[in-house]
Amino acid sequence: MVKNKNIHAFWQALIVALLIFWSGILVGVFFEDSRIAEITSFYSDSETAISDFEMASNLVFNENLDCQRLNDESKIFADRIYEEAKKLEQYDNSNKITDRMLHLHKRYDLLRTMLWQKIIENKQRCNESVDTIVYLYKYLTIEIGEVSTQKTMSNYLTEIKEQNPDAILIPIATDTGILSLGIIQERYDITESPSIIINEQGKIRDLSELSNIQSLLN
Amino acid sequence: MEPIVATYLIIMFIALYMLSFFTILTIKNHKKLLDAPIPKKNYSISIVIPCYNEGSSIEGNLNALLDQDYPNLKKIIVVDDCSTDDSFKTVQKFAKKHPQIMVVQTPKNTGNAAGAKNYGAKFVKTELIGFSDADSYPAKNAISRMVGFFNDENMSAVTSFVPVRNKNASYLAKIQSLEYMFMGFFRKLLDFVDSVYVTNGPLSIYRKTIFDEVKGFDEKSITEDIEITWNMLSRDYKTAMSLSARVSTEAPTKIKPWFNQRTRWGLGGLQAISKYKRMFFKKGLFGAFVLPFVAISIVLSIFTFMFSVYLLAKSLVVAGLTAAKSTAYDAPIFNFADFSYHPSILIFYLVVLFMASMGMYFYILKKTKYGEKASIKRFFNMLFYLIVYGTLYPIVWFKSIYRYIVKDYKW
Repeated sequence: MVKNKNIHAFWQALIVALLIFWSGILVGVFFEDSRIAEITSFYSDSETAISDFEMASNLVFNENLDCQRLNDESKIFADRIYEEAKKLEQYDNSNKITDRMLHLHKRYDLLRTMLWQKIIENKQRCNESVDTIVYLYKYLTIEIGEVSTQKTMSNYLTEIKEQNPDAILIPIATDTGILSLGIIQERYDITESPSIIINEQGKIRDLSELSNIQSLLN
Repeated sequence: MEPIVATYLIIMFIALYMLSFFTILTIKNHKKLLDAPIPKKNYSISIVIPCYNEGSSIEGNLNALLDQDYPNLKKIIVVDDCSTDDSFKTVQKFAKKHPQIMVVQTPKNTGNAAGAKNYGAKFVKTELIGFSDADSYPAKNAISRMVGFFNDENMSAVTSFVPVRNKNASYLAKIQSLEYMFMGFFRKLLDFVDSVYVTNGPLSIYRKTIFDEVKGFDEKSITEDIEITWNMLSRDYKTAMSLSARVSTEAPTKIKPWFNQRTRWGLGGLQAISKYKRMFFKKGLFGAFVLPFVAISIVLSIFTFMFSVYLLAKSLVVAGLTAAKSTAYDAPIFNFADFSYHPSILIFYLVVLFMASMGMYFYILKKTKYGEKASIKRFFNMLFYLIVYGTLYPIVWFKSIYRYIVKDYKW
């Protein structure tokens, strides 16, 4: 026989452990919620901005107005999306207990794909020479070689962006199931990630080709 | 949910459960931690000391035993296991001045402590039989703080609290001093659920009739003190621990002897689990708690270590490959985003566990009167113990498992 009713400690400990554990889950969810709320807020603003941008594009093209303002806005908007992408990546690196960030990531990838398409249209219609660097990568990969290759490419592109602040850098994950992105990849004959598309023509598929990026920029 | 997060959550839940369990036992029994029942009768007792090349330390042990305040300590039996040094002569000379001491010698070296202990037990005629290591020094009241537990007729064995005497000899000894303090305290907590699963070598006392019933120590077991305790628990006998019975001992001061000692302890634990595996979930608290507790502790310790090594190795390999590729293709090795940190669920549990460990540490220091006051230096020792020592300790288990697999049961 166990002394002094200490046997109750077994189930009491289970309750206490469950309470602490559940509190931890709540704290984890709270952290995630606050990040998702922040990213969602950015996303809403960006979504509004891209609609505004699209409408402005239509107005400019339909009424043969000056493209300059549109081009300036596209750079500002793309830079904002790029900064938000960096923030999203940082949040992605912390441990997550729900997969809501993945859904948000997918929505952002769609937004970036739309942005890319808008910029292509603008470039064609306005004869704009702005540089676009689209970085297609895998979001869900855990393969060590691939992760390190992507990290190297990402760091290289960050430096390129710092050296060419006017260039538009758009990172897009290819494995979040975006149909339109798949179609665009087919158009550019991109079957593998990571890859980099420079000004819709130059393609970088390997680390050894990174040094060609500068020469492909305008 | 990512598999890594799920694995982490499982480990954390088990750790939180154990933490809650020990905290609840502490709260419920905080007034009884140092209690020692007053003996209802004057139990006669003999102490057996196995001795193999212990000439340098055994006199201290014998002096401490001769100095005991317990009135009915009949005999102190030193069993020389055919020492190759002058231990036998030293003890004989010492015994001439103290008739309470009896010196015997095994016919040939038994090769382990169990053999010498069993040999010495043959000369014991008292109700209780105690065993003490030659390098351990029981405090003056150690035996009298233990015998009262035998008022319970079902009590088979009572063990003591073992502080480290040479804690200033090396940093390793200092860290073990903390470890022994924790081990002793948690063993006492397990006493409150009748689950003391080791009766240590420095000083443990057994009821002689039950000791004979289990046929003494298993000489095939490399840690006979674990085996005999499990043997008694498996027969529904009780075991107890007296936190106020202090027996100081010497801890290894260097890595190699420490590693060998711990490997041996681990190997003995594996032997005991193997021997009593049929009793998992079958035999009262022994099968329902002690066996799973020990087995889960081992598995969790190894798994957590491997999990941590995997995560660390993966990060290092990615960082190494990235650095190599970046260097080869003239890319920056890192960017500032790599150093950003965002708190996650990981932090909450680690903070809870860390704070609770610290709280427990200061409480144990105070409760056990361990002779240490809280200070910044000791706080860092505690950090080292929890983070470095605790993290690396499972390495010992790999050697123990290897020795178990190849049946290397040498002492």
